[in-house]
Amino acid sequence: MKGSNATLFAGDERKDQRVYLSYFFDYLFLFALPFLFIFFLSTSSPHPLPVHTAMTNETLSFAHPLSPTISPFDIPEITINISSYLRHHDLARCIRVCKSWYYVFLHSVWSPPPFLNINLSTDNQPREAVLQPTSASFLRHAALVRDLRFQNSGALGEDWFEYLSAPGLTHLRTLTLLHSGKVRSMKIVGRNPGGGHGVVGVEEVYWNALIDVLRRSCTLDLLRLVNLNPPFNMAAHFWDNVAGCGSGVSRSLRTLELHRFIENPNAGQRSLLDVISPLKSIERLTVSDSSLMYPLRRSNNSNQQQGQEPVYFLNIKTIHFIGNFDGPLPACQRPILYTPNTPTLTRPSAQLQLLCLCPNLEDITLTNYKTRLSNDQISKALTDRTWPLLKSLTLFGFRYQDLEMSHILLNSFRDAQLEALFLEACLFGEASLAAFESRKLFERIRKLHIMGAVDGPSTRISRILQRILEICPRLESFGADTILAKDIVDGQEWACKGRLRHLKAVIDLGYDREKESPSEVTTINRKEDFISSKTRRQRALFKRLNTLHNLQELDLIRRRPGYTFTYPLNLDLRHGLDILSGLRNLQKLYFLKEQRMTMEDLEWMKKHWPRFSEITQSLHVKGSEESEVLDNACRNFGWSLRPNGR
Amino acid sequence: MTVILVSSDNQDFKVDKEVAERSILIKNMLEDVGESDSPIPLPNVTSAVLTKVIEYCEHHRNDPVQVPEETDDPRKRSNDIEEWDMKFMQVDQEMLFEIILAANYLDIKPLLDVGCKTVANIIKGKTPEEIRKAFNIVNDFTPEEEAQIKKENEWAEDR
Repeated sequence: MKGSNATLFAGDERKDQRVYLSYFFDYLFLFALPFLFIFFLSTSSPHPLPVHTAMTNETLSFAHPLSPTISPFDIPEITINISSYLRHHDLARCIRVCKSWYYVFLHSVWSPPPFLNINLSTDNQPREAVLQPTSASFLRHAALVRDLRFQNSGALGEDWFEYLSAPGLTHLRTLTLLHSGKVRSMKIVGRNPGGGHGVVGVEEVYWNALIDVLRRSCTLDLLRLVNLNPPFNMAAHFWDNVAGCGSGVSRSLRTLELHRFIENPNAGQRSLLDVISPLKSIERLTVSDSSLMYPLRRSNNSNQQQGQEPVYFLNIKTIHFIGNFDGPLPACQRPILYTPNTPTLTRPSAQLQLLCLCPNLEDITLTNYKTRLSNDQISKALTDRTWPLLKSLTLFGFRYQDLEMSHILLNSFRDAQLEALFLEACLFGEASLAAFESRKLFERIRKLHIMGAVDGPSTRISRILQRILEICPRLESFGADTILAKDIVDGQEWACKGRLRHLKAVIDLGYDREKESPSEVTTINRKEDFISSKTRRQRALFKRLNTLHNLQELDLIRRRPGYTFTYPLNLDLRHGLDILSGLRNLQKLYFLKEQRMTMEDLEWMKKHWPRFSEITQSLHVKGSEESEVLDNACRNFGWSLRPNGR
Repeated sequence: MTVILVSSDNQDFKVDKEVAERSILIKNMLEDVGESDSPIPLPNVTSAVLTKVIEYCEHHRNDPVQVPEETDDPRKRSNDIEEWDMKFMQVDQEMLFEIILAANYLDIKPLLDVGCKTVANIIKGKTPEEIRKAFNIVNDFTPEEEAQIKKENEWAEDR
């Protein structure tokens, strides 16, 4: 591959810088906290809180009433650690305890971990009646907000403009803009934020406000657009500001996620390539449910570009393409703010061409149920070049046959240090296994999921899965459809037994059809033999499973529809649960079959699995008194109950 | 091989190097200094607290190094404290706080985490008044201030 060494180097250097930078911002924020409070003073509401005027002393010394010297709450690292275990409503109560706690925890309330980002819904009638901060309150605390999700479904509510124009909104880390409605155009309800200049195109006002937020948020790390495309007259302006052009901001945006992105340069929209080209710092790109047509053609000077050397994106490490169209979306799937008159020209494999511009990828996801691409195109794109840095590959929905799969395994990863491989609806058979072994992929692999890939007789696949477990010493997470207990019991010990943390597969107590099928069992004696042989097999199986000392999750739920013969495990003491006393790290246990457990079983689990925390809610016959008692016992133990997923 | 640790009140504690090295601070110190018999002063830790900390490190001397886990759920759990640790943490509050501070100073991550989990568990599900009671804290807000804070942050209490 041309220039691969140089490009690798450039990537590494940047990485170090980035790490520095990200730490710098993390800590900058801590140091900046007191100043932010002072900022509040200057922007406080008409009826300022006395806590803010009286704060000078408290903020300088977060003295705790208990100890005259120092308390854990005085040290930011410790407070952050404590608050990471608290739920949002607990944090909201903590700030009401006393003044020092107010200053300690206020930051966590307004800047909770990203998964709890502040959700502003500006619908007139929000679908979920979730409380949200009032605009006055938001205005006062905006400088603390780091993760914002802004949602509307067409009509904008009254105070959306106040939210977006909060001057303090300058420390955003992630911004999610989401359109959830079906209305074609948005109307302003209430006051006109344009300032009484008659009718203002609401889209324009909205996008201008967003652009303003982008301008102020120079720390933005992640931008996510869901069902939203800037209108044609705003697109250039918007994307320029995302890149930081024009606003003088040197942006360090690392993640861009686009859902229902419409690529239509002819109608003023930018192509994906145009969007990401100026984003020099971008590392992760996720594009889902979008229509991609012009990967290699620049919209503004497309003629000049043709035949020229394409631009490579050396920093991009992760690309997730999920369910995209190579071509225009069908009319029914088009998002609301979509400008029509899409040309019918389609360029196949737009996604793949873009993929090939990113030589330093570490993580590729191709999930594609709708694509018009042929399997050949995809495997060709994957095998045309090597991916020296690739660590994780996810292929969903391509329906590869065994030989195609083995071809990819043999040719795509010549130098790759593949650590994770997720396959769905790809057949991983003998040829794939041979390729897997000959490429020595088993030496490094840590996560391997082969789902819905069973095509041939399940017994053959089961042996392949057992073989994988025997040869992969670093495997931490393994997922598959079905393994026969017989293969595990008769096979060798798993090479990964000390490392395996997540095991997701149906383990079928199964039988050799010819010898053991119950339909052929006629006499009572033979039926009993059959049952006791199953119990014996389960006990032997448990002995094997009991060597998985680091196992945290055992998920025995069947994934592949249409798999019929199954004799699931009985997870109770009568059937040898006590053998599993070595699973000291087990936290989660899921199963499909309704069990017949007793209190004794649960108490045994509580005693022998100290970290246990979650179990399927099918502990006994559904609706029975016993099941209710057992459910309650679980809750008393502090275990979560997961509803049976069927 | 043993190491001598000296608490703030000048008591000597003789512990195995392996045990002492559960503390990253001490581990780095020993690496920097190299072979040496000189005692290590820990001016921020009293003998009462150091006794507890050493007890913890003795019990966990063979634990594997913690690897930060990648999970789909970024929420951290605080109800997965091991039984021994749970009992170990059953101390009065002043001691609990002292242990957390010592773990932070000595850089013993697992002990710090267990301490923080214990504090989080005390806070969880309680009203502000109950929290005050649990930590013996005086409410220094005026009623107006408290009402104002409640009003401004009510949205978060709903989650």
